[in-house]
Amino acid sequence: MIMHRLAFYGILFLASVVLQSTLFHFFKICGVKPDLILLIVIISSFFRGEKFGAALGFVYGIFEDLIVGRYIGIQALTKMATGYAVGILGKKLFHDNLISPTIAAFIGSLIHGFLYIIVLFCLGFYSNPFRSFFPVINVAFYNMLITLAVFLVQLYSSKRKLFRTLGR
Amino acid sequence: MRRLSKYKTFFLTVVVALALISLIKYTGFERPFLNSTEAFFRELLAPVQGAVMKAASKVDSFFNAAFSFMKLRSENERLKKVIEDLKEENAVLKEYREENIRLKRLLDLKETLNEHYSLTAARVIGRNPENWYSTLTIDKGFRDGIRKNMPVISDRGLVGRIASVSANTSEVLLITDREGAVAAMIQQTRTPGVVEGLGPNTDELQLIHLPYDAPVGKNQVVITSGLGGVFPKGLRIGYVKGVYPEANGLMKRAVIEPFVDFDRLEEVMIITGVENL
Repeated sequence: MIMHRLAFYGILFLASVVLQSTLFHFFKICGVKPDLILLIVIISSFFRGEKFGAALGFVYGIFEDLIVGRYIGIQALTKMATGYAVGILGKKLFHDNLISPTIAAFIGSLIHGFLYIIVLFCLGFYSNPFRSFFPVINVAFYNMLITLAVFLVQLYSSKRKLFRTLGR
Repeated sequence: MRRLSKYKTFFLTVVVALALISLIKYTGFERPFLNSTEAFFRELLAPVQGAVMKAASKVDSFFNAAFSFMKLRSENERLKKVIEDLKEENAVLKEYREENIRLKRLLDLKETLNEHYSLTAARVIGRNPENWYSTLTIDKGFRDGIRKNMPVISDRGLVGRIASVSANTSEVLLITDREGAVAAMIQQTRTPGVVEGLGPNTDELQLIHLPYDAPVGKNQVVITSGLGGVFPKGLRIGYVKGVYPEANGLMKRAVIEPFVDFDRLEEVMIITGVENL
């Protein structure tokens, strides 16, 4: 069971990395593309709690850092913190609706983006952090829209499944 | 025990965070080489990324082509509309140019004739709807000082005379009408005659009452003779196109091609007064 889950998250990660480094380049809006790896961390944290979120954020982050090869640890740190924060937020929000995960995606993306900037700024790698605020907000909106779309599709397919079951 | 575990987790988190921060600091600057772990991940993903990117580029080119096609189509529509607008504008401008040329000619005529005639310009606003009469309507009438029988000319020659007048319009009886006969003469030989229209379906005229031996030949210019008191002397009418004997053998007639193109008249001048002739 654990192996299955590990394989699932591993494949999800690989698919996300590949998609983000290739296909999503063509879906840029306002100069930004969605952060699929972050979205997986956020949604998982939202539904499975802060500990799982932090662990997943750390693992996904460190692998992402290794692939990117620069500022190794930044994604691990920020995604871990984001996963933790969203996990706590998830406990306070009602899960079974469309709005909550969408809000979580937006807030989680903002937390991640601002943390990223703050950490790098504090370590002396960013001279003007304010310049990156807009991209962070754009990514947050983009992630929010993707979450909404995914959950709408899920809701539609589950309703169809329910109607099919009732029809039988 | 639970509290101890909590402290442990907190301690572990702090250690991990500090380790990560150190790592970030260490790996933040440009390094000449990746370490083996980074290189392994990079190498592992490279072929997949390459394949997906290639496929994505093809899909992107396809969509780009589709989008550019749609863009081109809408641009084409827009440009077609622009062309239509420009054509319309061009037609209007051409119209103004032609009008300008005609008015300039009229102005020249006015300047030439001003010494002898008082002239009023008018625009042709209508033609007789029937085939039997050769008349046209102009936009000047009684209020503009236009009176019945006043001669009407264009820059090319005699047009006709005012047949009836209302407050703001007048009807011009053309010289091509059978009732619009004009006392005329051959300019070179001073041979007098009467110019009248040949019929309703032609703009040609004929100079009648010419003696059999009158010196009339082709291309001679016909002008008004001033007899009859309606038209002043010397207005150009047309040129002789052909000379034919009358059936009685005593007279002959000349077919006249008028200088004025009656089908394309748009502005005319009315001679409202004759001075110092």
